[in-house]
Amino acid sequence: MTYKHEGVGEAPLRIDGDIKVLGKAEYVQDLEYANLLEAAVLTSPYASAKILAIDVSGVWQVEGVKAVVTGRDVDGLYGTTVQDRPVLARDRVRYAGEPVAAVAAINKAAAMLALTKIRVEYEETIAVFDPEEAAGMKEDKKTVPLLHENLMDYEREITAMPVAGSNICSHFKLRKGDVEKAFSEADFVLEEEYEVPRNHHCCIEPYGVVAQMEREGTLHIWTCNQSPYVLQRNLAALFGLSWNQVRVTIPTLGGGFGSKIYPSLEPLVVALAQKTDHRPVRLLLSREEEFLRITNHGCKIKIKSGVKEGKVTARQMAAYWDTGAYADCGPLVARNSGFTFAGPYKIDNVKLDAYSVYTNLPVATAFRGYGIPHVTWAYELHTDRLAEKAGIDPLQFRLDNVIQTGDISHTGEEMQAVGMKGCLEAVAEAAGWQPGQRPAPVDLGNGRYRSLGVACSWKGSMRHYGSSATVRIMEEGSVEVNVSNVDMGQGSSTIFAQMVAEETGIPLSKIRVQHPDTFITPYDRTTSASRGTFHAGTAVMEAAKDAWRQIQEYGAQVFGCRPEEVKSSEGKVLNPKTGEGLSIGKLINQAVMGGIDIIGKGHSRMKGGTGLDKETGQGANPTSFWMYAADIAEVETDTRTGELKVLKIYAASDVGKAINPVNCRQQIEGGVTMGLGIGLMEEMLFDEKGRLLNGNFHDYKIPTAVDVPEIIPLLVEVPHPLGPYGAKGLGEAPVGPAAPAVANAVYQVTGIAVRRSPLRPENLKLSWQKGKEAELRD
Amino acid sequence: MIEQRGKGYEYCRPGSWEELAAILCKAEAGVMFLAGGTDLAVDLRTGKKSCAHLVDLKGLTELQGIAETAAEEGKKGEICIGSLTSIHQLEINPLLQEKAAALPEAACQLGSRQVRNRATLGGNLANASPTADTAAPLLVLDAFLELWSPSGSRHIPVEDLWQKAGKTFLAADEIIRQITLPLAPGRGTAFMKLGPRQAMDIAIINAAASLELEDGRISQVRIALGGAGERPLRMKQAEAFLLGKEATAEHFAQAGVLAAQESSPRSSRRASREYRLATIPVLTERVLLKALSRLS
Repeated sequence: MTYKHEGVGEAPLRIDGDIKVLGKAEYVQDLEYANLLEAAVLTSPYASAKILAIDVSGVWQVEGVKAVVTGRDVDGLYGTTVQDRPVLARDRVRYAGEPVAAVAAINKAAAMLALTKIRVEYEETIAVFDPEEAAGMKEDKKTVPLLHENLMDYEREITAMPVAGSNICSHFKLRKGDVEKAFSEADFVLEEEYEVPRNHHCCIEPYGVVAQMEREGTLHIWTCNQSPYVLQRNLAALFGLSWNQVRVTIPTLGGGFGSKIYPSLEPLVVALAQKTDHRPVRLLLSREEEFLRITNHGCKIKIKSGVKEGKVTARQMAAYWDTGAYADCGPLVARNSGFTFAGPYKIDNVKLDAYSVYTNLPVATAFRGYGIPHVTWAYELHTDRLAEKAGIDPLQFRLDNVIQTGDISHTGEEMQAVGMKGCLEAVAEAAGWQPGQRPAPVDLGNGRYRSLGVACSWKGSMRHYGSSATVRIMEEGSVEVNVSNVDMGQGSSTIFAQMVAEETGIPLSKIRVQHPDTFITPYDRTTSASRGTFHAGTAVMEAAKDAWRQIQEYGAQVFGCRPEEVKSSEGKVLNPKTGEGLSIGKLINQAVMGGIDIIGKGHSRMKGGTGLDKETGQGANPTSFWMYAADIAEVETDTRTGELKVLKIYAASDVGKAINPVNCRQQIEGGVTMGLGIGLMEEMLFDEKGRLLNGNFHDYKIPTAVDVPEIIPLLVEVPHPLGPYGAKGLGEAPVGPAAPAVANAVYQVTGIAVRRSPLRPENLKLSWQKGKEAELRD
Repeated sequence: MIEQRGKGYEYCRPGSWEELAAILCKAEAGVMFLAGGTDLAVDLRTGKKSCAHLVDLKGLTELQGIAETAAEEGKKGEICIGSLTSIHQLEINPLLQEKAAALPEAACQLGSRQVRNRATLGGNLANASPTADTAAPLLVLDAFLELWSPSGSRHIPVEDLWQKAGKTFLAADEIIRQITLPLAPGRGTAFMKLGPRQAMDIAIINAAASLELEDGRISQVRIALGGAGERPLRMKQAEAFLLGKEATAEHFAQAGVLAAQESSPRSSRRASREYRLATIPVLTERVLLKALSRLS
């Protein structure tokens, strides 16, 4: 075998690529279990109703039914930031689609039939769907029904800051400088409102869970969850088990994008499994059910900025996040997008309020970017309006205003390793846009024009959570990497293997990265916030260094040299005196007569995180690292029909250091595609009763291959002093700028601002018509 | 979250016309015909449609195929298409591409490749969607249909097939057997579609046109729109306006305005009446320009 190093900075094929391409990868639904029962869930048809009675006795008429549960069978509440959520609805339902009862039977057909035998008596109550209205902030609708009367009594994390007597489960505030004074001194002030409706993650793998109460007293869950340890601890608390009794196994996972970070249906399946005499219970969702399980937030944003001499001097914003019937991570989304809310700009006077608000809609959760796509939509369209009013080219305006290394952020952080300007310069050069000289739209005839638009964004990872890893080198020279970061398709397992190859010189083909399993792989908080490479990567790198140090020590002993003189070459350990290579197995044999594994340990412990002040949002070190991204979109706008054809997206991301450049480009391409979907066509539609109208891929449109333009990914590398090899995260930042860049290109052609996404042809055409009529009237 | 399933039905797959006739004579009511099933199978599963007897026509293999009958003295040439011919077959057929371009042009924009492999021309017509992609091309190609029932056959122009959205004039025991396209050698035809994405979408509006010129003036013109009313429609005022005029962009634009005037689109979740009315003139104008560009 020829030796291939494939360490850091190289671009090997993904280590899990072949098993996926060949269809050998096993997802939750592919695993086989003895005596498996299938579950089905009965859900509420009402967005808001009292449950007067439930009669489940009918299910036993159906042959093969083994268990049935309702809210009365399961005590306790759970939730990511606020423990407000029952496993099954008890005395009331808060959204159409909320689980009310569940059945386990010998097959799915029996379970489905049994559901039809359950009688539920509801009394419909008044529902509220608009987050601004639900927050009690609409002038004409001050009285609103409360979703959680006992909001203040719930257990909650410090990040949730509820407002008593309201539907606001968290209110994040940021105060810096004096916005009123700056507004009064500005050359001009512009105030606008933007809106991004709910959309969906659309993972290729719908949710699947198997739970079994094993005879030896352990609870074993196989699930497609991004955070095995969060789930372990939540389930342990709910069901009165210790952490080491809960085993969470994550098989190959088919896309997460945030929708699988937090516990969702696992508690319900465990509740069933407790009643099946140790038989495993499986719940596999249909695509229609998956649409209702969890969604992205919808958001309304008010933004007001003051500009003086071409610089943004003040910004005031309010965001109303529609978090749905239960808080889930809503307060964290409000906070994490909140402290980056004003955009990647140096602004000295900032006042931000972000409200996470309960509504009678399905539960909203994390979505790739954690609110950043929404706020970027608002502040980047707004930035182009500001530039226009100031009479400055929008690219130049950004270059004049973006935050740079050494600047003080909105929370009071002294910024380091900032690649924002570098990203803008990279896309400008690639697209041929000289700062200050934006190309004019090209008339293509018959109402069609081609133009360029720019947008940029930043995202703080926020997580100072730790990660641990072990690297086990076996005598034959093969390696097992144990880490609980979940590879959902983003390629993290390949990144970890490359790091181990880098540190040990062992070829990539000999390195295997384990699937996460809380009985095997060590602690990692979550696979979220683009933190995998930075945090879990640091742990893996440290573990590999630790293992290599042990080999060096054996080498020193065998070769009679100092440990640091021992180097690796082509997978072998070099004797510095003779230059001869020895295999790891022979080295161990000579050193200690063999029979052992080398186990390296590593941790990512981030020190110095400050959090954010509850009243002012100030904090000098709120995030372990920042990410920066900028896009230029080349768009063909059909002004007669409203159709858009995105021709090209130049997309730059500051990755710190590309561990695997091809993988980085793929992440950018995926992020841009997702951002375009949100910006151009995706929207969950609900009727006036809060029932989802388009919960399937026929009616909910995502881009097809032909809708995705040519994407030109550009890597900017401003190394992070604490990141492994200088790397930052990457996964989320590319989602934000794509849609605003397109919208800004379209605005250049029409001059009429469309402030609500998605930019569907109909929305555009009718907005332009109305805009034109308004112009004619003026 | 619960999948509502339709009531049970009896499935049968006759292998001959005699067998089909026998089944239809015996069945009292609630017969539905299954062709490609790309709409019907979904609707039966969700319970949107239900039937007592599901009669699968795929056993009648002679319903598939595309053939040309050459012109003879006193008789124009024609292309005959079996009603169970798949949309994909229309898409790739060289004969149609050469002599009736609007139809393969529409076929290649219908659904996904997988859908086009199963869906059939007859099924697309009998499903009676106001935006069926093959409807507008057949209208401008002057297609006529051969219908069959146990009591005999009859021929109707394709225009007379539809009553309103989801409803045809077919008798309960009647099926479409064949679609015939009379050939007109000097004709240019085209199809266009407006939808929120560039593939795998149902049209908001679709349009087809057919055009012939004589001495620089329009000697024959057909314009048809889907989504402009409760069934696919010919735009006869717009056609009358163009007849005898020069084929200019300006005239086509005026024809577009007339087409919007004779349209009565509805608002649906896919698009509002307002948006449809705003885009009908544009699509009409552009599809005429495209048909003109196809004239040799």
